Amino acid sequence: MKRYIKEIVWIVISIFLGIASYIIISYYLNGKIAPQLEIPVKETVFITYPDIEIVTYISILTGFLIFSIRAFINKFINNNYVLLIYNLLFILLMTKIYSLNEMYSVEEGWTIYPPLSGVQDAKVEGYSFITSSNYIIVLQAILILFLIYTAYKTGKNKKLS
Amino acid sequence: MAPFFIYCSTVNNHTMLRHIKKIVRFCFIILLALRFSNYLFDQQSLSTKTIVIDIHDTNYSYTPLHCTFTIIIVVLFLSYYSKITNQLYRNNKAVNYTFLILLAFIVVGYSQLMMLNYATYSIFPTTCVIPGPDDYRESYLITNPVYMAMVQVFLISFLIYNAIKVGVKFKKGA
Repeated sequence: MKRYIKEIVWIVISIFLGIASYIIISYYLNGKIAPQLEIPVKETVFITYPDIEIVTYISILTGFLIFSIRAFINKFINNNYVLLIYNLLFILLMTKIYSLNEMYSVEEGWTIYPPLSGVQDAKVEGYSFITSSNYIIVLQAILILFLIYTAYKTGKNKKLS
Repeated sequence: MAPFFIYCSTVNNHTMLRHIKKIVRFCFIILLALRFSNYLFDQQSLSTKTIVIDIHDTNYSYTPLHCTFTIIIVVLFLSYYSKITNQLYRNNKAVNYTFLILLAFIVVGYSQLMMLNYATYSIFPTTCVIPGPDDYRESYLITNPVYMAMVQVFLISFLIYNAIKVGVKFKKGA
């Protein structure tokens, strides 16, 4: 019973850290606690999801980091089911980030002056909203491998009844 | 070919036959995948650079290699799944680990499919506007993103379940 309470306390801490991070980011970007974040990018302002959704995403990230550090410190000896759930949620979040990145990236890239009709060999520069999608796929693959490793270790350290 | 013959001389006939059978089976899967992707996308030749799929007046291009790779992964996954349910392979580490890696490949591939569905979803509500106040039709490339996310949760849960099972199986002293 004591062990479950300990895990719940850590989950609550990660949620609080998520809320605190949101407040800090909101102050940094908008100078106030706004229900939606307004992220200025050059001459465009991106308005994010409602705050509860953003807080959830940040909490997943902080929870994942906290439970990963705990698992590494404990050498995966304890049951890591909470970490596995956080890892699952983080993989889903990565899929969403991947989708957003693809959605707002311009596939053809920006055409640098002079225009295509002006020169024979026009220089076309690729543009990504967050980063190149390859990096996101690699990061997601690393997360999945970490998930397999954590689950494998959990199974290996499981007490046989 | 030389390393192959050196290898053949070092193993007994039974092992060699077993390995040749495996290689032939793998080649057969690749050929089958190539033919299947060729048939699926109605292409005359696999030497074409891209496979174009026409959906809602929009062309989506994929390389034949990409499609073939996907089919190979799925076929191999099914083959390994039937293996791990078999008693003979239950204690084989290599088979169990390969199965987990294949499942991981499928999860990553499925994420790409989700991205494709989601990215298209964002475009269609604005382009499929039907005249009238607040009246627009939502269209998805495959299906509702929520359903797709549910399938991904199932896939990852299946991966976790299998990884734990493999961990328990190869537990020291078990």
